[in-house]
Amino acid sequence: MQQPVFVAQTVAAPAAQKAAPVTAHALAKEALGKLASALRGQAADQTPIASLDIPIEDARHLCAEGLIAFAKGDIAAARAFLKRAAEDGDARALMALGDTYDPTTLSQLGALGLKGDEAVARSYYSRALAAGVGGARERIAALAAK
Amino acid sequence: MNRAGLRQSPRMGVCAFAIAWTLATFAACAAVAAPAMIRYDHPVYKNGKRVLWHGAWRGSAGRSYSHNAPARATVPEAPAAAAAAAGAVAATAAGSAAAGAIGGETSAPLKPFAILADPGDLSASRMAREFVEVLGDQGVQGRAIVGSTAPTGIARVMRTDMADFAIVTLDSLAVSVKYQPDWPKRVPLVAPLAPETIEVVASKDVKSLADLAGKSVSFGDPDGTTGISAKLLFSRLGVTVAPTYEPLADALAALAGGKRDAVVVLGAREAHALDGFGGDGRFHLVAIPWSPPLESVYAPARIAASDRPNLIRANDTVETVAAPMALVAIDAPAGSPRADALGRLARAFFDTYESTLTAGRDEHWGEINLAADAAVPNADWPRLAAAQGWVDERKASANASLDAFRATAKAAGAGGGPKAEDSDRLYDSLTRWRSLLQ
Repeated sequence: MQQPVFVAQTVAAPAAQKAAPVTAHALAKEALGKLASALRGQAADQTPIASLDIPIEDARHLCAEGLIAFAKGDIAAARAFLKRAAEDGDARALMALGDTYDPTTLSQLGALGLKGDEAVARSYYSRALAAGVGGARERIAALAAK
Repeated sequence: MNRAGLRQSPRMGVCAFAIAWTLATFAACAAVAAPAMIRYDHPVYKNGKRVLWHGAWRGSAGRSYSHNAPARATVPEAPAAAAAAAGAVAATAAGSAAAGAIGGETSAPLKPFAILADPGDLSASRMAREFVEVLGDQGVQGRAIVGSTAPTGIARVMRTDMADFAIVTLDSLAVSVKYQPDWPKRVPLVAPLAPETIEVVASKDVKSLADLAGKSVSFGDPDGTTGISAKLLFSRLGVTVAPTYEPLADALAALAGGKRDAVVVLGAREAHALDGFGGDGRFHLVAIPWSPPLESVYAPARIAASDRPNLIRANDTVETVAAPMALVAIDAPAGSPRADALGRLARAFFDTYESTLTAGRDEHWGEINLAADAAVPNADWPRLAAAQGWVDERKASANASLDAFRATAKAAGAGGGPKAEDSDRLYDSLTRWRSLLQ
């Protein structure tokens, strides 16, 4: 298992993409996020969490939906959910997004028809690496070794 | 080909073909007395009345007369038809491979087919045309036709034998189970397609969908699939509007003239009427934020300003949702001759799927995993046996950690959908499988 990597600054990367409009909803999300971080902080030694910015409920929910779609092989839906999860702050979704484009992952998953895209996979893995998600470096290396 | 081209009298062709088929079949029946009987594979009409339905039996055996009758007429009943038929020359490698896999013999030409796409969903029309082109390159004749793919439309097509395949939204197909309990058997899925975005165009005064409560909203063509999807979407979001039904161009004109408050568009990637709309800056796309009532049916989507420069502020994006889509076979219950015939076409398409991925074709083909199960929301809907067989033949070797990931996903997805904390187990499970691959 990868070690949790805690990065203080870089975690804002996925969220910054969106140039988040400050609305009442966003503020509520922020407060929830802080609460979630506080609560999850105690359990951090048991559950490896990829980034310091503990993703809030919505993002984790979307990530779960994305991973379920991915496991079913529904790549288009998986990408849609994971993109939204990453935008909402779940950095793990960036790793999984990389997987939905990684030709190795797709062929092992038994996907037929669609082709992966190494460049896109690499860019998502890089963003995951920047966000401090464990294992991203290995995936990038594996892509380069192909 | 444009939309007008698609509309060119499909009925004429169907009639001509039906007449030729009927005549040839009866001629063949007379010519050969056969010991067995086979089922009609589609209804037979006389003076507008249905005289024979699928359950009827015909007094001859397709498999024995097929050697004497013209291939075009007999192939649906006899996959292992005469190789010497004129049409066989046209059936190229893919066609013969598909025939060989099922019929055990080679060179049987594939039956000409028709694929239906909804007039309100221009992306589906484009994919239908490309489906025809890809099979056309293999020497299989087919036509893309335009008609409602809402449940009522599919029912009509089934009654009149207008089409063999259809591109449908799965949210509307799910509605049909209530009224047509035998449809999961009769309208099997062939392949999943990429989800189609739903766009709501309205005046800038409309800030959210909730503002449309009680307002006049165009739901697309009368009887079209957009209307069904829109109705489901608004009801899931708890917003009651006053729907109107008209083609997109009319709806946009009414919106510009202040007679409508919003227009719902499905599959608008290809809707060029929308490209030119809103140049005066009065209109925008209303966001459909992701919310729990939408899950289990829709996927989240986002439209960028570059796609809708007139309707989205520069550098901004608008959240919306996408409806699940699939290719289905029409009236092909498992084990029927028609399921065999359509199965061979489906396999021929899959065999040549690579050519959908070439430049110039709809890029959505590149997002489709043929091995994925298209899932009709809240319904157990089977896949056409030949399509499933094609996928099964190419199944990756068993992998315990991948199976564990799938099992975790299945458990998390069961019973009311996943919770946020499921993402931890799912992600760990993905990581475990994935780390073994490197």
